[in-house]
Amino acid sequence: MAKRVRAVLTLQLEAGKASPAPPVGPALGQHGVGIMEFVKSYNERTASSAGELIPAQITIYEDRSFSFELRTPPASNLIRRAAGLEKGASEPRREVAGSITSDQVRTIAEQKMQDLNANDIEAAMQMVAGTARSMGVEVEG
Amino acid sequence: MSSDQAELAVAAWELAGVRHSSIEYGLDEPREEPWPGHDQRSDRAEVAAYLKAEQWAEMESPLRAALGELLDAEPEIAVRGMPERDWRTAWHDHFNLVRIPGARPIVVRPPHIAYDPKRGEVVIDLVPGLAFGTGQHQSTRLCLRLLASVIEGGERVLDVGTGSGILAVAAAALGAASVTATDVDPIAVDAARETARQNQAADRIEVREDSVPATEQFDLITANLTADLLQYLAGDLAAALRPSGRLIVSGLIETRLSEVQGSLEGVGLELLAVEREDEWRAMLLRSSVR
Repeated sequence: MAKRVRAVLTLQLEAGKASPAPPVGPALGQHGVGIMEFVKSYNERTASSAGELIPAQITIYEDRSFSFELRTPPASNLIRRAAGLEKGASEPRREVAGSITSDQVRTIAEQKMQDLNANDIEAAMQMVAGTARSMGVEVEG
Repeated sequence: MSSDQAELAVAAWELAGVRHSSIEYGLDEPREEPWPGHDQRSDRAEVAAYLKAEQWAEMESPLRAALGELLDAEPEIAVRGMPERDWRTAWHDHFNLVRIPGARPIVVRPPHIAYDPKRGEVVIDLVPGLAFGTGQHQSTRLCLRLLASVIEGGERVLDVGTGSGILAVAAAALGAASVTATDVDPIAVDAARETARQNQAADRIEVREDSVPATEQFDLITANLTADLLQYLAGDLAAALRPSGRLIVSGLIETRLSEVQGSLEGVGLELLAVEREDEWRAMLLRSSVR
């Protein structure tokens, strides 16, 4: 197939629960992608991970056909889980909502490496630690 | 912002309570995908959050603060109004009937458009989806045009890289006795089977997860691929043609035409015609084995 890419996007979606509502509708609709086709495939592929946020990276071709891949949950999601928190601090920078260890930072960084452009694990760990701090989660050790 | 910053921005916004966001990676112009699934994200990302107007009023300052902290700079934020609409049908605006004029006109019909075929027209029903070949691209239309001009009826046809199956269905509708459609992508194989079924042609089209079959020969082959793939597969394509069999290749832009032509002539094919639409080219060739 003479595939040439016209757009690449990532949508933050809840596994098994994508619908034509935003972000799917407006983000894909502007490119003329068949939205129900995407929703059906995404929900099928993610049905077994209900409750998790699983971003989809969508490649849209010149003739408006598309393909997509599932990405790892956002760093914030992984940090929250590692710290055992429901949500981040309501006033980050002033309030400490919880903490994670540097080993946990490394584990999350390893998980996120495939999605980040960070060249080495140290850079990925710095990004994860930065995200944690902005959420009001302290990094110990 | 960079794609890494975009990841972090999404994380920051999510914490501020934004559930619905997307990242779009800017491309200056369409890019060829070197292999299926190759990551084409650019480093010019835009993050969009979808909020109701009253939510935005409430969240603007925490969002700006969270972003500013992550980016270490004042973020550029543009706010745009968006009408409520039924997003399920948004793509309809982009898909019209595709007409391929000629002695045997072909019409590609998306499901939301009602159309009564005129006498002699070949109508293909196509639901655009997860496989290339919606009829909206020049390379597909060029193939359809050449197919309509060469099929006489009764041929054994091979469609390599069938995608949505549009060319396989067109070949069957134009009178081919049998069509073998192959694709290395299992999603395309499913899509092509579905297109064949929707067009009541499943009995004449065999869809397989394969490239160019090594042990069979065909009267006519269609290959809407890329310049690189056509050069790589040139020998296999020539070997799969019966003596005097014909080959339609597409998916080339003008600047790659002569090099692909050279590769195909190098394996014993002769050029019969070149079709053009915008910068795209398709070639009709014949096996010089008699």
